[in-house]
Amino acid sequence: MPRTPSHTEQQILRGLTSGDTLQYSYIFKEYYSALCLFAARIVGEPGHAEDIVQDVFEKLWQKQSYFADLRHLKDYLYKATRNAALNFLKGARHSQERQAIFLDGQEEMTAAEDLEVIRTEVFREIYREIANLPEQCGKIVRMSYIEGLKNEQIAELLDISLQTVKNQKTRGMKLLRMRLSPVVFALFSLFSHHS
Amino acid sequence: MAPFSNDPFDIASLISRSRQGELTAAEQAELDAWIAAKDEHRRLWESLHNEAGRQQQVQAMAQFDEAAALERFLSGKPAPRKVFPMRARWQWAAAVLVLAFGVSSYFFLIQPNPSSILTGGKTSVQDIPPGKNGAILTLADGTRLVLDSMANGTIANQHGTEISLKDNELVYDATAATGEAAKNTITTPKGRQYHVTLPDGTEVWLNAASSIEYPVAFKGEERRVKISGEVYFDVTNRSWQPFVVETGDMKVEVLGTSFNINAYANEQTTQTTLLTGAVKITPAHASAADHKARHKILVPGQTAILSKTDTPAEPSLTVTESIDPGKITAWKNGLFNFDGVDLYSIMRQLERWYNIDVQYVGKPENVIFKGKMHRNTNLSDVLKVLETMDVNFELKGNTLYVK
Repeated sequence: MPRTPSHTEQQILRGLTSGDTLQYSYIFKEYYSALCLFAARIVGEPGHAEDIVQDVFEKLWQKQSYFADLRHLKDYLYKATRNAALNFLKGARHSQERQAIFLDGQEEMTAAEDLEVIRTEVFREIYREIANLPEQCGKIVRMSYIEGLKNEQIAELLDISLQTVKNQKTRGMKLLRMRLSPVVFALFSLFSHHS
Repeated sequence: MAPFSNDPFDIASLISRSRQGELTAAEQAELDAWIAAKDEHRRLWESLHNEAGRQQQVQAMAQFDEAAALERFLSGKPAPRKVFPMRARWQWAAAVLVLAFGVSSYFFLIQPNPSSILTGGKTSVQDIPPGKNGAILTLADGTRLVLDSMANGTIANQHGTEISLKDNELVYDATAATGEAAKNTITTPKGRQYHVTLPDGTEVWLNAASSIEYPVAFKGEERRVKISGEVYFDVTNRSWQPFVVETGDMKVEVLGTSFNINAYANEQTTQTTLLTGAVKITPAHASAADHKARHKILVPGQTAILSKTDTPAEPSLTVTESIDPGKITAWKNGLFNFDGVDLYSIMRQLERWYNIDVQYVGKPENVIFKGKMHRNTNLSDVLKVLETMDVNFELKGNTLYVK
C-alpha cells in the first residue's frame, strides 16, 4: 500500500535526522511501551525488555538516520528490538526454551515473529488511543481499564460523583471507537499539546 | 480468494481499521483472505476479539513506564545498565541470612584487634539495650496513641476510616471514609523504628527519631506525604496518582519505586537514594521558574545530595553514582553499616538508636570505620568494637563521653 508521506510525517522523519527532541519524543511515546512488550515476549522478562528498548532508542538517536516514511521507521524499530532481544538471549543462557523458539531464522523475521508484530501493532494502536484521550476522560478510562478499579473506587479516589465517572467512561469508550484515522489523530494531539 | 499482503504492518493496519469499521470492500476481502489462509492467522484474529485478553494486553503494555524512560533519556542520563533486582523482600531474606551466620552479635572490622575485644575496653558495667519496634500515632484531632503498648484490634475510627493493629502493624480501612481525609502522623522517638503500610499499599519503614505525615485515604490528583528523619519507601504504582514526598528542603516526586530518604536535621545533607524505578528531586526552596532547571531525575543506584550549608536561596543539588544501595538501607534490614562512615556520623546514629547523648572530651581523631553490625546489639558490645579503632568511651547514665 504505497502512499505519499504527509507533510507532518515528513517533519517527524526529518526531525530524527536533525536531532529534534520534540519529534524524537513523539516517536518514543508512540513505540516505547509496545516495543517493550514485544521484547518481553522474546526474552521473557519485563525488566530486561526495558533495557533492550532503551538501547534501541539510543542507537536511533545516535545514528540520526533518514527514513523514507513512517513504515520504514516502524520496520527498523521492530527489527532492531528483535535483534537486540536475540543478542541478549545469546548472552544470557538461562532461558533455553525460549531461545529454541526464537533462534531459528536469524536475519528475516519468522512467521511466528510476524504474527507477534501484528498483535503488538494492534494493541499499540489501542494503547495510544487511550493515552490520547482528553485528560479527565483518559484518566478514568486508564483507572478502570488498566488498573482494573471499580466505578465506586474511581469516584472515591478522584473525589467526583459516581455519575461523572460513568459519563466520562462512556464518553471515553465512544471516542475510542469513533476516532479519526490513526495518523491524523495522533498528530492532532501532538500539536495541541505544544500550541 | 483475494491476494493479501505479506507485510505484517499492512495486516495490522487492516485489523485496526476494521475495528473502526473503516475498511473498503476490497480491503475487507484482503483481510478475510489473510484470516482464512492459515490456522495461526485465524487464532490470532480470534484472540483479538477476546475482551479479557485485550484488557490484559493493554495492562501488560502499561507496566512499562515510558514517561520515566523518556525523561531519563532527555535529561542525558545513561539508561540504567542494570536494574537492581533486589526488591524489599529479597533484602529481608538477605538480612535473615546474615543473622543465621552471625552467631555473635558483631563480626567484622577492617583491623580487628583481638586483644582489645577480649579485654572489653573501658566500658563501664552499666549497659543500654538496643532500640526496638514502636512508634507514636498522632490522629487528626491531636490524640496520641503509643503503638508499642497496644493490643491487636481497632484502635481508632476517623470519619469512617477504621484504623486497627494486626500483629503490631497499623492497617487502614478507608472503604467507609467520608469527607475530607484526616491527616495522621507516625513518630518514632529515639530508640524505636517502625514499619507501616499506608492506605494505598505503599510500605514505609521509619528509622529512629523520624516521622511521616499522611492522609488516612489518598484522594485527588496526587499522594502527598511529609517526612523527617530517615525513611525507606516501597511505593505502590499508580500511574494516575503520583506519590510526592516532602522534607523541609527537598521534594521527591515518585514515578513508582523504592528509595531511601535521609533528612535528619542534625546531618549536613539531605540524601535520597533510589533502589528501583525513578524519582524526580527538587530543592523545596526552588522558585517556580527555577523548578524545571533545578530538578534531577535519579536512576537506580544513584543518590541525590542536597547540602544544607548553602544558603536556602541557592541549595546545591548533586547526584552521585554507584553507592552500594545495600549500605544505605542497611538500617531497614537490621544492620549498622559503618563502611566508610566517620566517627561523628556513627555517634549520631548511636544517639538515635540507643537514645543517648554523646559528648566529646577534647577533640577525638575523626576515624573512618569499616564493617557491619546488627542493630539488635547492646550498646556496650558496639562500643567494644569501636574501641578497637583507638577511640575511648565512658558511659555515665544516658550520656556517652567520647575521648
